[in-house]
Amino acid sequence: MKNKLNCVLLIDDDESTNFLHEIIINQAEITNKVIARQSGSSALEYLRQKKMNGEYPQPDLIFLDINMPGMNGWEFLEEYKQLEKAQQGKFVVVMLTTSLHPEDEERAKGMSEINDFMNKPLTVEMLHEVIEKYFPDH
Amino acid sequence: MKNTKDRNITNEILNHILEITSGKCSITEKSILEEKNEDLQLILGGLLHMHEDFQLQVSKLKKNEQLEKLNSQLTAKNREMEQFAYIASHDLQEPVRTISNFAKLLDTNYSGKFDETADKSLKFIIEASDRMSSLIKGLLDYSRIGREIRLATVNCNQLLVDIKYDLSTIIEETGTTLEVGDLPNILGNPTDIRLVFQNLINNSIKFRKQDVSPRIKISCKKQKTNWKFASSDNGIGFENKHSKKIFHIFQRLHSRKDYDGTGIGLSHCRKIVELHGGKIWAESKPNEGTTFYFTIPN
Repeated sequence: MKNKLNCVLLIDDDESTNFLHEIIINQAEITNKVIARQSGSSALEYLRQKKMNGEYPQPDLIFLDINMPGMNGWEFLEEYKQLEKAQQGKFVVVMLTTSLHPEDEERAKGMSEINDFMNKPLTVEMLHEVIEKYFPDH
Repeated sequence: MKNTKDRNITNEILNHILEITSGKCSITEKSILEEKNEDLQLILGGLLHMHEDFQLQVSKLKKNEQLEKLNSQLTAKNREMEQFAYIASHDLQEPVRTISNFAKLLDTNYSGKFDETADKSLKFIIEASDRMSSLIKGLLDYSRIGREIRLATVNCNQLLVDIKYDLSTIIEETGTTLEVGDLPNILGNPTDIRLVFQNLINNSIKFRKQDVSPRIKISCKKQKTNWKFASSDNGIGFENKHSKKIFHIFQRLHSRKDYDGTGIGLSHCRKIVELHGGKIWAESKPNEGTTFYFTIPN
């Protein structure tokens, strides 16, 4: 790996899953920074907020949980679409607890925002595969 | 169709006989033959009628038989499903308890001797196994609803007095005002109906606004075929698009950090109300409180 990503954003309502994924991502040594948010709305808030240098955080990778209370992953994506390009992340990977419902599969096909699907929990190997696939220069 | 066809055949035969015998048979003989033909037609008609009747009965019986068969299949499936939920959740309880027990043992005896990540991991194990345990308990309770169908007259006024008494601690602690209008006597399962009111009240108290004392109003209107109950509060409310989701088992609108609970209370209410032949729904707006409605046939 030549250089690390700048920022990975985790969106999952389950605190322990975020905790575990943070540890795994740090072990995989793929990024300088991991940000975890426990709801879709607080993740949107994070994406919309400019940093000290006047730029949006624009994470390189967003790992998104689907089954969340209140705003679920799909609803998050609907709002995410409306963001300015400069506010969106570079790649979105949807994390799944179990396999996708057939109706959700249809829904996912229609969403160009989703780059990939992965089963939870994330592992070091899975993360390295993602990097190879989407960030060949890194 | 068959009827006319058969009649035509008999007519044909008769004409044929008449042709052959024409000139040879007398007028009396001819009229006797015609008379016989009429008798024959009547008998034939009667027989055909009986035949149609018989066929109708047979098809009715067949339909009944099919319905009965379907019904017993449904009952069996239902029982099987309830049994499954019951056994599954019952058997799941034990390994979860083991995880929880040993995690707690580790926590008591070794906490602080590990590093921070290990301590935090242990905390997550304990929390998750406790949550799993209450989810399973919720599932068990859910599968138990409606097992025993015992209908009785329920005096809702008295029921609310009892519930108020049972919930007096939380009502006092939160400064809740519970206004109960004139409620009817209804036909239902007393334990289940009690659970509906209790869950709705607990729900309204749980999702109260910060710094605003909860105010809950319970009322009832008589409609053509049912009683329509309403329970409204001045709580945090929710976006109306979630009004169906909240009645689904384990569905929650808030993170567990903000509001505790398994997301099973309202699904219990729905199952109970529907088993009583009624409907339950909610109307709400964020920050403007929620009104739950449910009907019970009268």
